[in-house]
Amino acid sequence: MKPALIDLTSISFVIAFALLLSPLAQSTTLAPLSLAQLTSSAANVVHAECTGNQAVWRDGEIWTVTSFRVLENWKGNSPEEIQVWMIGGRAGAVTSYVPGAPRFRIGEETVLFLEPASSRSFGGVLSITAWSEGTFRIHRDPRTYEMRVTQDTAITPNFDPSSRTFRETGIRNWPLAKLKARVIAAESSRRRTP
Amino acid sequence: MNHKSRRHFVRSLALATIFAFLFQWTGAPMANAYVRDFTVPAAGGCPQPQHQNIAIGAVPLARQWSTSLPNTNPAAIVTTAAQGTPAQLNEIEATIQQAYAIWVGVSGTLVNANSFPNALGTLGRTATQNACSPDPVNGVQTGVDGINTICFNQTSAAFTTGVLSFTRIMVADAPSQVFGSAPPSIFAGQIVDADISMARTRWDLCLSVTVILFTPSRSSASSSPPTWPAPLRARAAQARRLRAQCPRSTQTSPRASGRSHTP
Repeated sequence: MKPALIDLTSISFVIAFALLLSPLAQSTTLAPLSLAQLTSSAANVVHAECTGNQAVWRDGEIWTVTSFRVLENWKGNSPEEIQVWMIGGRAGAVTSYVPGAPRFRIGEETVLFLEPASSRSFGGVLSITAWSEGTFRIHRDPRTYEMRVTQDTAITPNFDPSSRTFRETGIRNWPLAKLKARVIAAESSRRRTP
Repeated sequence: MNHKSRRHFVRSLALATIFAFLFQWTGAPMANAYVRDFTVPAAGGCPQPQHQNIAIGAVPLARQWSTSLPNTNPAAIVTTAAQGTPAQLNEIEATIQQAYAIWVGVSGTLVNANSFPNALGTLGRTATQNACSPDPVNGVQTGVDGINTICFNQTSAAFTTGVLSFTRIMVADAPSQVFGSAPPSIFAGQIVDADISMARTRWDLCLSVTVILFTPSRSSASSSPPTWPAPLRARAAQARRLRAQCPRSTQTSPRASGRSHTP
């Protein structure tokens, strides 16, 4: 009997780690957008590498300003260095924690769908379209070293009110080239449509 | 434990470790870089779980909602009562109350009024539009007031396409910290304020407050589905009918990404 118990122990280890590492996107409500809708809504779509994070106060709110080095423009013409503003962050003794707001690590490569922040007082700073829906993390396939992307929303089950069930949606483990082709095709299609 | 069992145990442990590292390797880029439900105290020491002050004798958690509603056409909030009437406010408030009541079916949460009858204060109202966010003109922390507030008429710069609502949680990393008009923090990791902001209809999304507020968290849905009282079923059906009147391109189903923050 013992070996069976031990096997359960090892399984529980794995599950515990999985739960520990699960993303904690919470209590943010997003409208589900297709890739075409994301592309259409975004002013810029870039493949970029995070180069730094900084928390700043602006209009009485804490923001995390993440700097990116643009590796490739898929839509629009972003400069080589861009800054992306997301609400929340840590400044001094206070942390403003906004579940679901994407955060980035230095050196991390992502595909971002960007648009100017909605408030005029922000003077056109960039933010991420639909937050985690407009954020695609890039990782390399361990065997082929091919670059692959996973949408942030693909790793959190989302509630479908019609069926009242949680389902995993979003793009997962696509080749980067495939995502790029789809984005470019969506943009071309949008331009053709009067 | 005999020699064979010990060997099996060591082998299993090694296997589990390898699995864990594999998961870390493949899953980490998708997951976020840090665990965000914990706060590292300013004075050092172990990260503290973020939570409201739930000590015995602490005052009930203050909560309110902003009666400032977006004045848009089509209406941002679909109710059975006419727009801009006291009946509409009562209907929205009843919906909020019912949303809290869903948590009665979830054990271990502070919001469960059966388990913790005195944890939540009375749901109040405020006419202030920016009760959940800083004053955009003066840039002061009007939204950080220690009152957990739900706002429907928000114009935060954080709203981008597709973002319908978000919760901003202010957490202190030390005792005696004062933010805005909130009472001083008691301990590191204390949530001093948590406000839910909902976007106006900037993106022409046709949603009903019933559907938004009745979207249960993953934790509640997985443990026990919320039970809707009969009148709310009827109201939800009515809300669905009203939503069906929206233009086809604007019909969207709100989705809650993950579980809600349990105080």
